[in-house]
Parts: sequence; C-alpha cells; structure tokens
Amino acid sequence: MSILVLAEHHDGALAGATAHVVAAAQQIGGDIDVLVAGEGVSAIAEAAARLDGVSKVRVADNAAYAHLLAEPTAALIAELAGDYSHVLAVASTTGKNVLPRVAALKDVAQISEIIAVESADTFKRPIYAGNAIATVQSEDALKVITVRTTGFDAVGEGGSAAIEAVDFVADNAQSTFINEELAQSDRPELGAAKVVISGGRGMGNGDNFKLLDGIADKLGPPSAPRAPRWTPVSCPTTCRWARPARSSPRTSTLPWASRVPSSTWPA
Amino acid sequence: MKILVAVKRVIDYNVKIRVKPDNSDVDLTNVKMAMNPFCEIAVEEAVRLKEKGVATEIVAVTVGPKAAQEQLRTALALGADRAIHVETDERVESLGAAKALAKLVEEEQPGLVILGKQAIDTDNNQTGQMLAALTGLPQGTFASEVKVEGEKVQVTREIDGGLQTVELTLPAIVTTDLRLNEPRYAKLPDIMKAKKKPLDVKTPADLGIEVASKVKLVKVEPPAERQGGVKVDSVDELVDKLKNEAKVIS
Repeated sequence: MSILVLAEHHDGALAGATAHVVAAAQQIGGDIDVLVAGEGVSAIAEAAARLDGVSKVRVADNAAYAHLLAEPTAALIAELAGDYSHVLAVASTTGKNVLPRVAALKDVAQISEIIAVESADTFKRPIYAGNAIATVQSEDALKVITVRTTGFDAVGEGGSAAIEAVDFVADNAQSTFINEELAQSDRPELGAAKVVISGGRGMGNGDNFKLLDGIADKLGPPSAPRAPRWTPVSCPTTCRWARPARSSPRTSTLPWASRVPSSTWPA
Repeated sequence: MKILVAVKRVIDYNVKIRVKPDNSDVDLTNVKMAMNPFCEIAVEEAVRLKEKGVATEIVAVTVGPKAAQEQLRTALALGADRAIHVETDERVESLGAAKALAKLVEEEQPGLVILGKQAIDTDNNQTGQMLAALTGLPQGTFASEVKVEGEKVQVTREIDGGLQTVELTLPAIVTTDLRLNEPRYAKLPDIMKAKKKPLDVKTPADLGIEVASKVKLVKVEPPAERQGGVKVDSVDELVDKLKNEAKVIS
C-alpha cells in the first residue's frame, strides 16, 4: 500500500497539522508520500521532507496551485492518485474543499474527519456533531480520507525524504482567487494551539472574556497561544452560549443556526 | 437564471440523538425530522437572489425516502417554484446524492446550484464538492457571501484563518456556511400555496444511476461518557492536576 498526504501550508510555512496526518498514514501502514502543491513552496517541501515516516515528497510548484483552489488542486491529486491506495488530507477548510472533488473525479466515496484508524479500510469518525461515533468500512479501491488532527499525535522531525518535482499542470479557467482577509492575531490558529481555554457561563458576560487573555499569557509566552477564537455573546440564560468564531476541532458540538427550528409542516 | 437548490431531510437539530441498543445506527423511529439547517440557508439564499431579480426560477431537489417530500414542501413554502424528488429507500451517501444531482443539473441546466455545506446527521461535507467534480463546474464552498455579477459569481468563503474571496464562472456550485444569511419562517398562506406547487418524482433508475453507498456502516456507538467534574481546594491543586493529570500545560 502507498499513501499520499496532501501537505497543508499557510504563509509559506508547513502547517503542523500535516504531521498529524502523517501519523494517521503511519497507522494505516505503507509508503507515505507527501504532496506539496502551491506556488514558491520549496521551503515547505523541505520541511515536509524532514517529517518522520515520509518516504518521498512530491512538489507541484506552479502558479496554477497558488491558494490551493479546489479545481486545479483536485485535478492534480486525481492525476497522481493512480499510484496510491489512500489519499489523506487535513480536515481543514482546504482539505474539505479539495478531497471530495478528488473522490468524485475518481468515482469513489470519501471518508470525512476520521479520528481513529481501525485497519487499512476501516475508520472511526464522529457523526451527529460528535454525539455518536461511527465505524465505517470502505470497499473502494482508492480511499480518500480527511483526518481530524486531534485524533492523532504528530510525528516528529528527523527524516530526510527525497524531493521530486511533479510536472503536471492543471488548467483552470473557471475559478480565480480575488483576495483573502485573514484574522490578524498573535495567538496561534485554533487547530495548532497547544492549550485552549474556554470560558462559559461563569464568565458572567461577554466583556469578562478578556480575563482569559491574562491566563493565556501566564500559560505561555505572549507570542504563543493567542487567537480571538471566540466571539463572546451574552444572551438570556435560555440560549446562553458563546459562538465560536469557527468550529474548533476540539469541540464536539458545532453551533447550529441560532434560530429555532425549521417550519414544521402541518400534517 | 435558474437556481437549483438541494435539500436533505435530517433529524431535527434540537433533538438529542440516541444510538440503537444493537449499535447498528442512530435510532430514528418517532423522531422529529426537519430540513438540514445548512439547506435552509441555501434555500433562503436562492429566494433572496430571486427577490433581487438575479434568479428567475428556483427548483428544489432532494434525494431520499418518500417522507423527504415534506422537506421539499418546506422549500416550496419558503419560495422555491417547483420541486424534484429522487425517491429511494437506499442509504444514500454523498457520492450517490451527487450523481443524482449531476443528472438533474444536466437536465435542468441551472445557472447556479446552491447546497448546504454539510448535513448535520452524517457530517460529511462532500456533496457540493462532488457535484462540482461530476459536472465539471467550479465550486465555492463554505460561502458567507454570494454576489452574482454578469457571467460570474463572487463567493466569499469562510476558511480556517478568515475569509477568502474567489470568482467563479457561471454555472457554478455554491455551498453555504452559517453566516451566509438567516433563513425566514414560512408563512401560513405560503405553506398552503406550496401544496399546489409542482413536485416531480423520479427514481435513480430513471436517471440511469445507482445511489447505494460503497461505504459500509459497521457500527455506531455513543461517544465516551463524560466524566463528572471535581472541585479543587486550591490553585496549586488545580495547576498540579492540569500539569500531571490532564497534561494540558507543562
């Protein structure tokens, strides 16, 4: 078996989440190749080559893959997928955007957000927002999987995999990147945070959430864990919850739309 | 421009789910069902585009058992013009649904297809992307803003670090995130009118596809029971527990 892992990267650096996916790939077992796609990604490829357990890094360095738009990236992975039994990616907005497209191009199912590997074709994944855990078995020849990073401990660094260029360039006349507005923050991204502090009802009201910043600073250097990961909301006790700025991989419950239920159809 | 909106019948999001005692699946007997919340947002977005004069017709589609027609009627009450039901009692997963939708896209030739980004039962987050691949159309997933300008659509996507805007050529596939809009409630007169709106029923065989899933559901278990909390006497004890028991700080 051989496994292709799509490297996740932001701002010219390899995202730590990739090391968790390599760990999941190790549990499946087989040769592990990492695909680094993007524009100007040689430093990222070198970082990926240092991850333990990686046998080869394949680099698709082309303007077509800048910002990892779904259309060209999926075409690239589908092109390479013939060499592999499994294709894995982080269950991030990038992985979730690209991999289902790859799966459909290869006419196979995709398995989303696995939290454990039972065997090479059987995986555990949360359903109903984590209120149940399903064990699923794929009968497809190619398994396309996104990995929830919190289910797997990251692999270390110390490898020195070979780096090989991929020449395939996907045409894309359909989608164009316009711009990106990234939240500026001196705290890490939620998925990469070592410590997550959550405040609840005991905080009294939304303004008090800033008290948590002090604790965060005490727990790590100020440059370390910090992200406005909450949009604190104060509301009556019947609906009291703070709405995460986005769903955390560490929380099992996603916040659903704040309105009360859909119109019920009269019988 | 015609808009196709896909909706899914799922367990109501307020209902606390129970796993069947034999661990075969989640127990859905006598449970309140509703339209998937992300699909409601998709319907609402289509209706708003029609109100703005961008869209001329909204077709609501679902793939699933006969009872799913209730959700199509809900979509019709919210403002869809007609509905198509691909009826099947199979356990349909994303790829099967995407194949059915791809056939309907071919038949209906919509300018825009709007879907919810994920269903709150299987939490797969796949169908829109798969439909885009099968139809060869561009995709704008996790949309928090959709602007149609001439032959193109600008979609602002909610990504991990913030927001990303992409421009797609039409026709295109858009999947909705929570902040795209706040869906309206259906008014009683609209609910009554929706009963008279046309609803076509097709089978997967009519479309020439198979929807059965190749992913076997082996077992469904409740998540690990949450341990009760403990009260600590001092800050030192708390720090000690965080360090040595929970190992969250070092």
